[in-house]
Amino acid sequence: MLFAHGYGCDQNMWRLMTPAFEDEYKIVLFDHVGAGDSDLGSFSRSRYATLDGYAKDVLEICSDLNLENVVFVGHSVSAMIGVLAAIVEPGRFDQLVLIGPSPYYLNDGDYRGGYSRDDIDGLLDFLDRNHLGWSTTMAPVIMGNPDRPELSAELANSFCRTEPEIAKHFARVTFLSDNRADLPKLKTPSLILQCAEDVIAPLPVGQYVHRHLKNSSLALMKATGHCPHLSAPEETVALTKRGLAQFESERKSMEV
Amino acid sequence: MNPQLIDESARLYDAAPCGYVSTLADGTIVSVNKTLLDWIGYVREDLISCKRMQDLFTTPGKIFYETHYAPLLHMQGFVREVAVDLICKGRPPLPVLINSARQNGRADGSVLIHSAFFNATDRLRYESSLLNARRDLEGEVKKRTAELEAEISERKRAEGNLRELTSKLLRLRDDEQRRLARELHDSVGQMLAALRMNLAIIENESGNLTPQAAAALSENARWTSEISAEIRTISHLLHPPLLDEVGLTSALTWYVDGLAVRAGMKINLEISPQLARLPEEQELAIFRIVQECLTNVHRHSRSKTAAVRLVSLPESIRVEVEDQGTGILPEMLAELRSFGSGVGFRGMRERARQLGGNLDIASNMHGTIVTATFPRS
Repeated sequence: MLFAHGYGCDQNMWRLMTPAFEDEYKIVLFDHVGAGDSDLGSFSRSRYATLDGYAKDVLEICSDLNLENVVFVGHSVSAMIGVLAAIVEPGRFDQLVLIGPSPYYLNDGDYRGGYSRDDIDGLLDFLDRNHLGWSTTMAPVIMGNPDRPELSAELANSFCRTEPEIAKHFARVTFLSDNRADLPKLKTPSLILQCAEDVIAPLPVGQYVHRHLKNSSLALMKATGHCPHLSAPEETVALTKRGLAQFESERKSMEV
Repeated sequence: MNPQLIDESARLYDAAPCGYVSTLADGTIVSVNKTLLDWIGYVREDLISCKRMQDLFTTPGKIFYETHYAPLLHMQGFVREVAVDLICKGRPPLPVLINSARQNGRADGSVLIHSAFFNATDRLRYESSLLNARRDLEGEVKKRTAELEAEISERKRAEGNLRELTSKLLRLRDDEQRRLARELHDSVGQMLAALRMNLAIIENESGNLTPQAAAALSENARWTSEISAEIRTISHLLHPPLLDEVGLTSALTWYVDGLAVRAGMKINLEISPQLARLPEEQELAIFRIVQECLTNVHRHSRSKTAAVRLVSLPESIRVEVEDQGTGILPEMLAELRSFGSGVGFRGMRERARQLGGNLDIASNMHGTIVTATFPRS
């Protein structure tokens, strides 16, 4: 199981969810470039100009670690990153678990992504006022000592520590990417976990994703907000397990 | 507790110089103080149980709440110093700083989040002036960087042009020298040979001449031979035929022996026995480089000795020309090394570069050594 965190924080987001799968699966966690303990030197504006660059990272992780029959769990923007990766290498992935996916965050005609271009520009300005967990004096110390986590603990909000320029770039790519046309290209079965009252990825967006992904199922959650794996880990785990089991039995019946 | 104290703490809660909000885990407001209500222009009934804290934020703050604030609260139990704007009734948004902390272990098992809001209007004002200053500066840096980059690429282009021109010149000179050498050998050389044959016929009849005429005739014959030899040397220096016919080793041996005699120098030539024939353009380049170096040694170094070494390595061929002369002045050496100024040196360097090799020069008051390396093609 390969877990990909969304825009905002880092792989720590998965810590309430992964223990439930450790017995049955090999768990692979990573930080996107710019987040957590990633190597900032690997960042390149051109490589990460679209979500394809992030999808390439996912595929490189898979090939470097020789991962096969991958269950990809992606939150928020990483749900779309997983979809893009599975379109490029369908043979690599068994199933995708998409938590709060959205192919496009802006409103466009009948499509209601939820936001306007002005909202996103406002967000980019807003980020300049909130460089969470990032101070230019501490950052080099932390980045140079990945083996001494106590250093980063000295900074409040360090789970959302992201190099500010990369954070803004990631926000721009996340919220302005339109990947609606990619959805029908996915062949891998997928489970969509849709929260109640998610302002980032509202229900109509989840339904849109479900309609355009062949072989997908939509699970409506009781959990509210955008991060059910943190706010309601039990429900998230249970729905994921049910989805995986269902997929497994379908595959067995196909084989028979 | 003393009822008076309870009263006092309730008054303090409501009248505190900061806003207080307590919410459930999902943000639903369960209590709010009067300071905050006054700031945003709402009454308690507007908020309690029907609004979540994040509903009070402007859109960027709402997104930020879901992507950063809520996850942080879950993961570390507190959030510090987040700057958001609050939506106010009939007034522009109010910038505040928020600290939040989670209260676990309540009797009924529920979780409460307590948040304190600080008015950050002034702070935001100078922060944004700082931010604007930073953006201006960054813009200035970007602009200057772009200008510098343009300058660098223009300079690179000019350097490229110069190199191209140099290599074109070298090629032209090689071709021209080859043509001149052939012309001298074929036409002038042949005419001189014919002249010598005629003179020999006349010399056979010299008994019929006056003694003065016979002496002049034999002098003419000697002159003709010398001119022939001179023309042959000039022709071969322009382009040694041995280079095409037998190869670099013979051509260099011939050249070094000739120069040693002409210049009165002692030149030691060492060629790796393993060195087989090289591609034509490589042999020509090496020959020209050795020729140029030895000419420089002869003209400038005041050295009476020189050594030429051709070393055959598995991956490359190294050419060294060394003298024991007075050396090159440091400032001139620096210029040679960085820009390759001086037509001769630039030409050598260009010849090496064209064949994927490189050329370096080292010098002190005891002598100079030029080293050129060519990869095996």
